[in-house]
Amino acid sequence: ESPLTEEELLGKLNADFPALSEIQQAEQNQWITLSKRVDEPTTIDQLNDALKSKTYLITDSAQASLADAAVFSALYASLKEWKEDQVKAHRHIIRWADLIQNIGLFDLAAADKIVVNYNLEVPREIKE
Amino acid sequence: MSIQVAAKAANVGYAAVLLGAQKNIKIEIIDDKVVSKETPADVVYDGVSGTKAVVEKLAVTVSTEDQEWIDFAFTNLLSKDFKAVTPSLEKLEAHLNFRSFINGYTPSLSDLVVWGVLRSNLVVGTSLKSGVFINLGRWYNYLLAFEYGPVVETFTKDLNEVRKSAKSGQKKVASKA
Repeated sequence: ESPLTEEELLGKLNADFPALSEIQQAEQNQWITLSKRVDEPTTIDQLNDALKSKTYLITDSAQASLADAAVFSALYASLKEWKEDQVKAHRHIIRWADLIQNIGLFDLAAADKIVVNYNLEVPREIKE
Repeated sequence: MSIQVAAKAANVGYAAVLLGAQKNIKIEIIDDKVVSKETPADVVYDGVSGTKAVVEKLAVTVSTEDQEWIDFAFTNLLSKDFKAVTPSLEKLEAHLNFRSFINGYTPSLSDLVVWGVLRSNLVVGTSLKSGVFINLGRWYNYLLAFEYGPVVETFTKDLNEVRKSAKSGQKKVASKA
C-alpha cells in the first residue's frame, strides 16, 4: 500500500492559518522553497536543526502555518518509509511530523498516519 | 473563594496559580513563607492545603496519565539540589524526544503541573533557559510564550505591589491573575 502523494495530501488540507508578521512570512517563503528539494540530506538536516528549539516551524508561532503544511506534505511519503536509523538521526522531524498529522491540519485517516514509536531509545542530545 | 498563595514558600505554588487562572479563580498573594500561622501551607484553597492537593481539587477530574505526571512532578521536581533533580529532568527530556507535549498534541493538565513545578524551582530555571536540555527547553519555552507566561507575569507584578504596600503596613493584596 503506497502512501498518499503530496497532491492527495494537500487535497486533505484544512487551511485556516494564523496571520504572520513580515519576518515570519519571509521565513515561511524560505521553507516553501526548501520543501521543493526536501529530500536532499542538507534540507533534512536543516529542518531537524530548526525543529530542535521550535514546536512549529515558524519562529514564535503558536500554531501550524502554511510552511508546516508545505514541508510536511512534501516529506510525508518518505517519512512513512523512514527506517529506525533515520528516525534516530532526525528525532525532531518525527516529533514535529507527528504533531502536524494529529492537529486536524490534514484530514488523515489513522491508517495514513506516520507510525511513531514514542519510546524509541535515543541517546540524549548535547548542545553544540 | 480565592486561592491563597505564599509568595516566599520554598517552591511557589505556580501550578495552583496557573490552574486557578484558567478557572477564573481569584489569587490572593501572601508575602510570607506560609499562608498563615493557622494553616502553615504554601497554598490554601477551600479548606485544602498544599499546592498538589489544591491542584487535584481544582482539576476535578484527573486522568490516570495526568495523575502519574502530577505525582512525578511533586515527588521529583521540587528539590533544590541540582544533582538530585537531574535524573528526573533527563527522564522528561527523553519523554519529549518524540512528543511535543507531555500527553497528546495540546497542552494538558500534565504540562501545566510539570511546567508550574519547574517554574517554582529556581535551580532548574537557568538550565532550561540555557538549552542544556534541548527538548525540555523547546517545550518549556513554547508553554512560556503561548500558555503560561502572561499569568506568571501578572502574578509577579501583583507580588511586587504586595511588597510595596507591605511597606505601608498592608500584607495582602488580591491578584487578578
